[in-house]
This record gives sequence, structure tokens and C-alpha cells, in this order.
Amino acid sequence: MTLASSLSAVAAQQSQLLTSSSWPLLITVAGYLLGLAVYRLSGGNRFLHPLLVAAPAIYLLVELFGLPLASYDSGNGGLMLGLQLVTVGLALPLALQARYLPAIYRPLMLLVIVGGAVAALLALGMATALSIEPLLLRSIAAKSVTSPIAIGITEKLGGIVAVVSVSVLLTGLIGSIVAAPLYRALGVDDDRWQGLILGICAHGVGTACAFETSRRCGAFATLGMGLTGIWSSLLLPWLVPWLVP
Amino acid sequence: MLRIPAGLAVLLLFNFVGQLVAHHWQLPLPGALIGMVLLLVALLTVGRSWQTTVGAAAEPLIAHLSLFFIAPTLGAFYLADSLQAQLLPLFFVLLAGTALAMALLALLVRALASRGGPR
Repeated sequence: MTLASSLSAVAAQQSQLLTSSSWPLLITVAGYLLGLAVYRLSGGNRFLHPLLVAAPAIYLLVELFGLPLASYDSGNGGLMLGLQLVTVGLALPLALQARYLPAIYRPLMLLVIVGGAVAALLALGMATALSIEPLLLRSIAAKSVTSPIAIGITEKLGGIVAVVSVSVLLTGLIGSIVAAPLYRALGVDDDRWQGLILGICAHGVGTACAFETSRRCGAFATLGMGLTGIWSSLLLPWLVPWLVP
Repeated sequence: MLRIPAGLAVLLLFNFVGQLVAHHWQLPLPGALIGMVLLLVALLTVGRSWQTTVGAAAEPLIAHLSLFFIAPTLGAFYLADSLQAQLLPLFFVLLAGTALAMALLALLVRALASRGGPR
């Protein structure tokens, strides 16, 4: 067999792969790389979160190639398994920070339980007051929960995964912007509680912000984020159907 | 170099068990979350020595967390018009709701501290 015929055989195989499942996957990974590159070039500017650059860029590509959303989604099925594995993997940072738990578990649990409930109730209450549709209410209930868990919860609630995904990101950005002035105004100067509140209300984005204050602040944010994820996944499937028709 | 595939196998196993538990008992919880809680319990009890192994697979995944929810997020560009009209009030809810929730927790921390709680 000549080199040329092998090459064309491989090329044919590759193009067949490209027209079937790996084409959407390639777009997603390329979009993510672009988002990551822009984020790094900006020196880690929070407003240039990779998702905020990748999603519109991919939308343009998908439209350009006239790819139907359904086939784009099904082509990315492999990443959905990845999302499940990341969720399971969040046990690790939680286990590594668990040593802080015994000394302060009572106030910590109180903050997580109140915080998880208050974040969802405030969002649902205000959205109801603004007569926002029940479908969107179910989609924002998990806004303070870390994305992989929030997506799982929202699927169970019958909300729109895309809406919760964007809401979670925005909530994280808002939380990490208001944190410093809020702590100054209300006199929260202990970095453990600063981190915990960030983790409870602003999940992963808030946790990244907390690590900029100190390692201990970030450790408490990690705990707050993980425990709020577990608590919300118990609370919301019970609370939301009861509050939202 | 066995660590990465071994760590991946642990994640796959706990995810599978979590999905199985959620499905078998028809729980309203995501299967992956049940897998996470089971793995957390394991890491704190029988599996203390697994931490580096699990970390070899979990840490790169967590570092690139956003890659995994790009595809589901894309649906945000294809929302029905009736929903799109409500996105601005929704943004306001996120802004005010998050700031208020954090303020309430900050006040709670202060109240606990003044009673000699968290400090």
C-alpha cells in the first residue's frame, strides 16, 4: 500500500468523523481554547470568563455552518459525561478542606443552611414579584449552586439548563464584585467568614475570588460551595415545586 | 503513571454507583451528586490514601470546569421570544438577590460573633 493511498484513507476516515460526532466537539474545544486564550491575555479579567467568550464564538460558528442545535448538543454528549465526572470529583477539594469542619461546624452549618435557602427564596420571591414566567423561575432557583450541580438540579426541576448555566456565572461575577465593599460596610473582617459567604452565595467564581484574599479564605469558600451544593440538591427539589406552580 | 487512569476509574465508578442509586430509588437528586457525596464519605473514611490518586484525575477536570458546560449554555441563544423579553428583569433579580443574600449572611455572621459564636 502506498503512502498516498493510506493518507487519503485516513483523510476520508477523519472527514467522516468530522461530519458525524466529533465536529461539534471540535467546535466546543476550539471555542473553549479561544475563551481561555482571551482570559489569559487579559491577565485573568473576571469579566472575560472563558464561558463569556466561548459561548458567543461557538454560537457564531454553529450559525455559520448551519448546524442544528440538536445535532450540536448530541455531538457534545461526551462532555456531558465529563460534567458528571467533574461533579463527582468535587468531593476531593471538599475532603481536603474537611479538617476545618470540626472546630466550627455549628455556625458553619447554620450559615450554609440559611444561605442556601435565602439565596433561592430571594431570587424566587423577587422574580415572582416581577411576574417572571414559572419556567424561568425553575431555571434560576439553583443560581447560587456550583454549575455542575446546578445543571443536575435544574434538569430535575424541569428548568432550562442554558438559563441556569448563565445565571450561575452571572451570580458568581456579581458576588465577587460586591463582596469587598459589602464586607467593609458591614464590618466582616474575619477571612474565614468572608470566604464562607463567598462560597455559599457565589460558588466557584466566588471561591476563586476568595483565594485572592488568602488560602484560608479560599478553603472556607470551597467548603461553603460544596456544602451549599449538597444542601441545595436536597432542598430545591422539595421547595421549588411547592413554591412555583 | 497509573494514577491518572486509576483516578479516572474511581470517578467513573462513583458516578456509575450514584446514577444507579438515583435511578433505582427514583430520587430527585442528580446521580453525579450522590456519587460525589459517596466519594466524599469514602475519602474521609476508608479511602484516606486515595486522595492523590483521585486528585490526578479530578484536578485537571476541575481546572477546566467551564469546558463541560459550554454546550448546554449555547441553548441560551435559542430561547423563545417570550422568555427573551424577561431576561433583563431576570438580570436585575440575580444582581439584587445575590447582593441581598450576601448582606443577610454578613449580618448573621456579625450577630453570631457578638454572641461569641464564630470567633
